[in-house]
Amino acid sequence: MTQIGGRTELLKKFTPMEMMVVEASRLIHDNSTVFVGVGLSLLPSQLAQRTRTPGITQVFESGIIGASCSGRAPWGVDDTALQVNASAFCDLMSALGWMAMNNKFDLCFLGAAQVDKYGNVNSTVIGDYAHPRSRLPGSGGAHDVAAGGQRYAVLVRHDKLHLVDRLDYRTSPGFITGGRSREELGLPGGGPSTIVTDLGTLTPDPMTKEFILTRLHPYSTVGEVRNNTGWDLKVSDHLEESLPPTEEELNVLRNELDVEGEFTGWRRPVSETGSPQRLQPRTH
Amino acid sequence: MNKIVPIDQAVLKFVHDRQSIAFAGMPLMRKPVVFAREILRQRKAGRLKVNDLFMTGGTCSFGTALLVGAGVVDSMISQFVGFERAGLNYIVKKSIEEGIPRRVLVEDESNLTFNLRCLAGSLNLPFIPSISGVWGDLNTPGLSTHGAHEYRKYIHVKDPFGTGRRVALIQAVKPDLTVIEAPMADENGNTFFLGAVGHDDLLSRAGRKVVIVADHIVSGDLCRRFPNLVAVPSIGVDAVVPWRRAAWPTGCPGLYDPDITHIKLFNDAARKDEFEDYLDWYVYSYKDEDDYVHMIGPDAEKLSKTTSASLLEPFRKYLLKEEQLEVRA
Repeated sequence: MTQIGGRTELLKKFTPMEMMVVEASRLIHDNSTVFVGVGLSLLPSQLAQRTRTPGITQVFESGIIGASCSGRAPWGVDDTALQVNASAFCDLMSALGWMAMNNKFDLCFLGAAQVDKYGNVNSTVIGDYAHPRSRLPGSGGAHDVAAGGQRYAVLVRHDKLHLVDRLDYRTSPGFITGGRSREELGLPGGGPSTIVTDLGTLTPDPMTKEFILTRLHPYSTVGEVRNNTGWDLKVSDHLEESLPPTEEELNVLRNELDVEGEFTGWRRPVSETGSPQRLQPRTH
Repeated sequence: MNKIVPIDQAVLKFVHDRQSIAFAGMPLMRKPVVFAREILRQRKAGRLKVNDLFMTGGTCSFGTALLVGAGVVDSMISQFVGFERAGLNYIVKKSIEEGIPRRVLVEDESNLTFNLRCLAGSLNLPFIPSISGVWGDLNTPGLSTHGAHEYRKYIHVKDPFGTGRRVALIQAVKPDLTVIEAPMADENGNTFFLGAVGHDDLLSRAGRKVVIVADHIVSGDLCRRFPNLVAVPSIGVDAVVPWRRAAWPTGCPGLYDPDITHIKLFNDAARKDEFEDYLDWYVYSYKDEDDYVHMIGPDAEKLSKTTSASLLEPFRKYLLKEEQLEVRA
């Protein structure tokens, strides 16, 4: 594979986080059912629905089915912006108990604070559980979707803090210790299919279930990816390169989904509206 | 039976120290925040003694954050700590990471394991099997780190009927008190939701006592006309508290959007150690319901222009006006 020389040129056109969201959205097939997680994982399916795959059904763990969020991007999986034009409202038990555990989701998106080489995910604490250095949100529905759910993609920033040799806390199951260990546990879902980062895409080796580098983003190098991974990352013999975001994809991302740039960092510094507000006593 | 009770009386009657409380709703949706404010207001006024509450799940969002920040929470079950895209929950982070104002014990659950625990509670079962929890550190007990009491969390067993499938047995949860924010309830307690249900239906059935904080009281005709739409039947409700914008700054689908600006401001206050000021200005300051709505200010109108307003349209004619309410003194 030939290394593209225009790295800085490319990164003037889009940010690595935008590449990551775009690459994740390209995993979605039209007319499929997509489970949408919290945070950055809200974006790929919104992007896909507004561009390549208008026929998808998005499911949110709050119980929202088939919402086609128009206008602003939702603040969360329970935001009022998603409670318009839904095809059904049900409850959390239906989304995570019935749908996830019975393979009703073709693809799920999860975020992660840490992911290991078998795709196991930590989203609970950094440091010791009883006295954490950093307390994070926790499982939410992630554990359930990772246990059920036909396949899921993990979105994570690529560095040694996030792609680690050993998780501080094991929140959600990937391929456990590799090989057949997940099957032996009897979890109904197929496990993680993809780790999409801002540097490339990792997929599991079919036998060992260890995640290896299979796609580079057009601006990254194998050395850079390996140096930013907390385990000795193997590289596929058939390494591919992802296509940069299209004009249309960037347009939708910037003008509709991440207008402030808080997720993908495309707009810096933050606009006037995003400046921190100070606490004020009421005056009216 | 008319179950309408003013908020101060509901708090004084149903909240007791050392009990378990579940706030229904999700991080940005239908949190009974005004009830949490009232607990702190009654405590400040010296009418309610609470120091060690056990918050029993329902995602750890705004209401729980207020109580944790005020130091009246001893421990909690949590599936999710935070405000999703609107930010981490810095009050609760500070408590867990730095012990400020005190270290709250946390037991983690996933959304499904927590819901199953509530299902077991609602069925009056001691435990229930679950696929979630078969693997991972959710199995770590979080409520025994002081060494005060040791206990087992999940117990893994194989299907005794012979399929060999492995499940986790997880214990029931029955909160002493479940508080639910709803867009509509009638005076008997029949409660209606708009939008996603989340886990509010299950929590209502798991709770030993259930208080509904309703933005609108509706005519009793609504349940007679659409009995299918009753999410919590009156039989499971102990009190109905009428209060407009009860979920603010979280949203109430059909009525108003979440107030992201305020949530960020709150988080900012938490990070700058201005939480006491927050309590003075946004918890202890208002006199009554009208004053509370006034406190939210001009943003209230803006938040009401929610795109989800169409959900309320078919029910608008059933909403009662304030003078039509008979509040039990």
